[in-house]
Amino acid sequence: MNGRWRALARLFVLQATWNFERMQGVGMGYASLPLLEDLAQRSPERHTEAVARSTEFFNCHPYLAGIALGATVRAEFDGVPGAQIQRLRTALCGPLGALGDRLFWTGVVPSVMAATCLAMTQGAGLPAVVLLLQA
Amino acid sequence: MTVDGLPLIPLLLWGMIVGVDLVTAPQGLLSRPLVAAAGAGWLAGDVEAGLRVGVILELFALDVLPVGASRYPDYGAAAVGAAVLAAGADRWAGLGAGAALGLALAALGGWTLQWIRHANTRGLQQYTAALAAGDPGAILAMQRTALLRDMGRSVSLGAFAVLIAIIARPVIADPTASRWILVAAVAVGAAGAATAGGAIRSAGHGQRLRWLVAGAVVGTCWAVLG
Repeated sequence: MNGRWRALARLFVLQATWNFERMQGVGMGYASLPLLEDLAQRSPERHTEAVARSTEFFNCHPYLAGIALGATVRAEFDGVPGAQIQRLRTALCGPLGALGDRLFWTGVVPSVMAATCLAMTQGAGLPAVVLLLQA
Repeated sequence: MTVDGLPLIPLLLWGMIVGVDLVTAPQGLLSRPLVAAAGAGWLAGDVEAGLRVGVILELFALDVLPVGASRYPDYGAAAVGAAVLAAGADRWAGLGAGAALGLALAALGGWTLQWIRHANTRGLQQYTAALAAGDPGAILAMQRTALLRDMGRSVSLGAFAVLIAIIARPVIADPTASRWILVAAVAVGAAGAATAGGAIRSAGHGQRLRWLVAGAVVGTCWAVLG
């Protein structure tokens, strides 16, 4: 499994280390490690700085965190100054959080649940729940 | 291994899976009460009871916005316990008692989430220097510990929920359980009120509210005439 797939898999445990100080920060660091492996060969010093930055404060909707992950890792590879990358992370928190929470928690989830309940009342039973998970 | 005709190990495993799903992995919809209760009902041999109690708890859960550091109930293991209690019971007795147990266990589960977050914060403080030095080993160690911690929390909560449900099953098996019908009515009413309140709050004013009213009218007509 290459770095991108491993990073994607690790995004599924993004919130395992959720805490009151850095929120999803450490989870983002965990997901970014496979993507930053190549940087270690190119510039070990830059890699160390990038890993340290990747665990700093971050919080957004977990389903959209991959966007911020990709953007920050790309910035690390492009040699963007560290302070600018920190500002990028901070700037992405608000929009990705607001968009994701509104889209998923007050949009997709209630819609899918309503459709599932409706299907169940029509006798769909357990298959309706399985279809919900597919959505 | 079965207790009171229930497959204990699969139920505990399911309780752990839905508990871990809420926050840690994979953050899907497994922890939604509808899914968790349906799965538990299936394992307990009564899918319909699981679905019934799952819908009631889902209506409560729809009003919850699990964002940032907000405190919210954990309906995963709670729904498992509720479904186990409702499985095989009288329709209304199972629904009423299951919903009541589910709500109480969800509140308890929400409290354990706070405990996990505090424990993660203490873990972070131990590794602050290593993280600042860019040590990948510290990240991996934190992640591994947190995952195991949440698995432990989830399996404990699931075991507690199933245990309470098994203890309570003979109580609601009483044929003169009319009080549970009252509990069921209160639970259904409260769930409807919570969902309606949440929907109105989300809709706000203007066009979204008009769409909500239109949807409610169409849905009511469908339910009455259909």
